Amino acid sequence: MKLSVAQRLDVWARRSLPVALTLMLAFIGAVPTGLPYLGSIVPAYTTMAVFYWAVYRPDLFPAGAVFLIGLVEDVITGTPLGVGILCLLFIYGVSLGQRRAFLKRPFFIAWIGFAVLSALSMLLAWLMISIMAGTLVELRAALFQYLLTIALFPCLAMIFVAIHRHMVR
Amino acid sequence: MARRSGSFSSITEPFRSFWHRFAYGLLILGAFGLMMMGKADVVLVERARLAIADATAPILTFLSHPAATVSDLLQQMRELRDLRDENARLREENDRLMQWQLVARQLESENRSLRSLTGFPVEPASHFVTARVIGDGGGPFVRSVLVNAGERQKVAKGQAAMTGQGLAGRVAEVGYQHARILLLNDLNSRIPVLIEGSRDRAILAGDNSDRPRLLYLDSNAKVSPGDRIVTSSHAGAFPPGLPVGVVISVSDQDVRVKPFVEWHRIEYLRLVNFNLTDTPVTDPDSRIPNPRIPGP
Repeated sequence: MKLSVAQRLDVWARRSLPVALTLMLAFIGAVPTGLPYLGSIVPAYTTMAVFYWAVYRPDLFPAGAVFLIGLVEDVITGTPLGVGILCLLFIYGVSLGQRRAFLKRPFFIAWIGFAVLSALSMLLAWLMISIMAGTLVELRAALFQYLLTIALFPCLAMIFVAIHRHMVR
Repeated sequence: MARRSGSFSSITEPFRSFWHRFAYGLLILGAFGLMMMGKADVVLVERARLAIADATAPILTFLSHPAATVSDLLQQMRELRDLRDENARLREENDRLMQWQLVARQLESENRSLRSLTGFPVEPASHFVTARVIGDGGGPFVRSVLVNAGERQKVAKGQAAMTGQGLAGRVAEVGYQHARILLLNDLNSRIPVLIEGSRDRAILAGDNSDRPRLLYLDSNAKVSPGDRIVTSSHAGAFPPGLPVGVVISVSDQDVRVKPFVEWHRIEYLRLVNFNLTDTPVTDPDSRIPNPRIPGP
């Protein structure tokens, strides 16, 4: 059966939703909030999104999109180019390889997996930045960001689940 | 037609399967390559970076409006609550400032007459571009913000970025419609400063903490907590005397400075164009605005 143009557009829009939303999150993370101390401590929204979609719908989230999102995020935040890309690719690769461990298990397991993975990716970023700066960079802001990211993961995951069920299909 | 598309796909097929198999590894290599080229300041990478940032600037500007509205609303509610206290405080401050204004006018006229006696050249006037902060350096390892003014508004690399309270940072990268401000507490920020009282020179170096350090301070320099730090014009980029912060702690290892800027309140930044090649303003009166005298 052949699909009409409108139907094909609809399918295309639904299928590109995960990538588009994650790109949107990269922008939202950079919006100035004006809240005390939150300027440097914004939860790593894109890390959460990449983890979620790599585990539950990797067919809609190619590695090239991960690269692109990392690139945009690096440019917006002013991080040395490549650092954010590598971190996201790391999250993507490991969660894709281990997705069977999380699928059809309680959410709690995925949460723990995410906590471990994002800790490793944060350390990776810290290591790369420290090597490039030639000194050990302060880790406190990164630690707060990590804790905030872990704490907010269930909320974001709920939103992703809703989008996944009702819009992506 | 079917034949042709078939032959086309037979050409692309090997590439496609190659890509599918090695995409992940190639992308990781690509990221490493970008990192190396970025570190080596390859012009092409820098250009690409500016182009992407320019393309994203309108989206960030659009998104920053609702966020600013919400935070303004919260601010207004807070202000309404504190209106009475604030009013009393402002009255008191106004009285004090009136006296200061008197002193400033006397000093200004004295300064002018002394300058005319010694033939001291008038410093060039500074021009300002006021820009809105549209992107907060979200990363935990970088202290920088994006503003929505760039080459179009004659912003140039190296200009000082000020808030009403003091120096916030320096323009580090300029695109067509955006600029990145490296805040003075960033790891890579180095700003020539003076200790206001003793006129000792130093470099204010950020380390990503809220309290940047003073480097290369003369060992005989007398510095104590509470000393004001201002910019020096030694590097030629900054106007002299912009307020930066106060010394907050002095120890054997380092001298820490608390900047005047409240980081979370940076909503607009003034980018100061202190161009020494500009034609100096001949009329010194125009440099300090006259107070408006209330009419009868």
